[in-house]
Amino acid sequence: MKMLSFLFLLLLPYWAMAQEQINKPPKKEYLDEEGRLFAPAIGYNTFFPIQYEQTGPFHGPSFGFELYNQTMEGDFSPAQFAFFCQFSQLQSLEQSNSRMLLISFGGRFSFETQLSRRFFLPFFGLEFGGVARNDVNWAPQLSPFVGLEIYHGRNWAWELKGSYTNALSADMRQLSGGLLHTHVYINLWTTD
Amino acid sequence: MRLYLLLLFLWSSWALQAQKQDSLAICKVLPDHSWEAYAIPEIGYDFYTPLNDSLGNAYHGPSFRFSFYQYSYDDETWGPAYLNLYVRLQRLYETQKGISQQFLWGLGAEFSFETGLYRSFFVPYFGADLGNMGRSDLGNSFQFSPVLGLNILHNKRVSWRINSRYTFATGEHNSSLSGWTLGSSIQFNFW
Repeated sequence: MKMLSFLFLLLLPYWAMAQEQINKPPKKEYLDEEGRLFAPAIGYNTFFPIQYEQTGPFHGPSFGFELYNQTMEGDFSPAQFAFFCQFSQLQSLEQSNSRMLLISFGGRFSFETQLSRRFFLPFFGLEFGGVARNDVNWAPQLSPFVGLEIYHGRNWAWELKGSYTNALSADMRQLSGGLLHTHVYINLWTTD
Repeated sequence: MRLYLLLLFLWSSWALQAQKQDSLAICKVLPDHSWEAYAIPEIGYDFYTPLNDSLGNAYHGPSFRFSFYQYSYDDETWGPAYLNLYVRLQRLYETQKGISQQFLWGLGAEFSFETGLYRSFFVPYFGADLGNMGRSDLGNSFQFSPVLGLNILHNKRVSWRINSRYTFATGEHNSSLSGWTLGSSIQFNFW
């Protein structure tokens, strides 16, 4: 009897440990989706040039592609990243004959390593390309940005971002400024 | 005898568990100074003094840097222990009159002087970048900027650095565009 009690006491911690494992909450589910290719995106831009008083803001539609985007569960990598290209044509609100063209290629990366929600996913990134105005020579541009994926679905997503467009030429004051951009992209093809 | 064997078996499993805990504790005692990182943003502020500006004005403004790849190793036997590959962007404004503006961008690399880094502060480095610069009243020019700097805080998550560059500009306005930059920046790695 004594031996049995002794064995029971010895086995008790094992039983307690097993019980603890059973009572543990289930592991959190994180977004882990295959890569998406050439997702078309349509959106809208509002541009506030440095010389705002002369031309007022510019606005207009944009069209582009999310060349590759992926959302995954990572330990040492962003939970979401994408490479994209975008074309926009903008029109001055105050001067009807003043138009702009903006072309950019870039990459964006989420701040987080794991995402368990589909709303409000913040990101940052960098884009480069060209900017032109019908009354000013074109210039290359390099623009850091921050943004928010307002909704990230399996098949579509809605994104909002703000950037500072840095025109890299002597006409930087005419062509540089703040840009607010929103677009919706639709995932058509996956890599698998 | 059977009881003894059973007890021995049970105790050995406890001992193994304890050994595992000890190993974990030892791992925690020795810090790891090695890391690799990708896509790291950095923001800073720069002060620029042109070499021979007729206006005699200095420039200052924000800078942004995006590092494509970076490593810091504590077990390197050959080569730099710290490497950083980046693109940087600088946007400067004339200090006194505020009329003239200047931009600069460059693709570059930085290397530590040392081959093994076992600390998280005061890491000197050197490097250079190539690119383009321009001023609203003078036009564009090719630029080459060697740099000497110090990572005051040198960490995978956060780095704080100060640096000094000399920018060589080409073209007819090279003496107005070339000059010294003194800057400080902070880098955040989120992953």
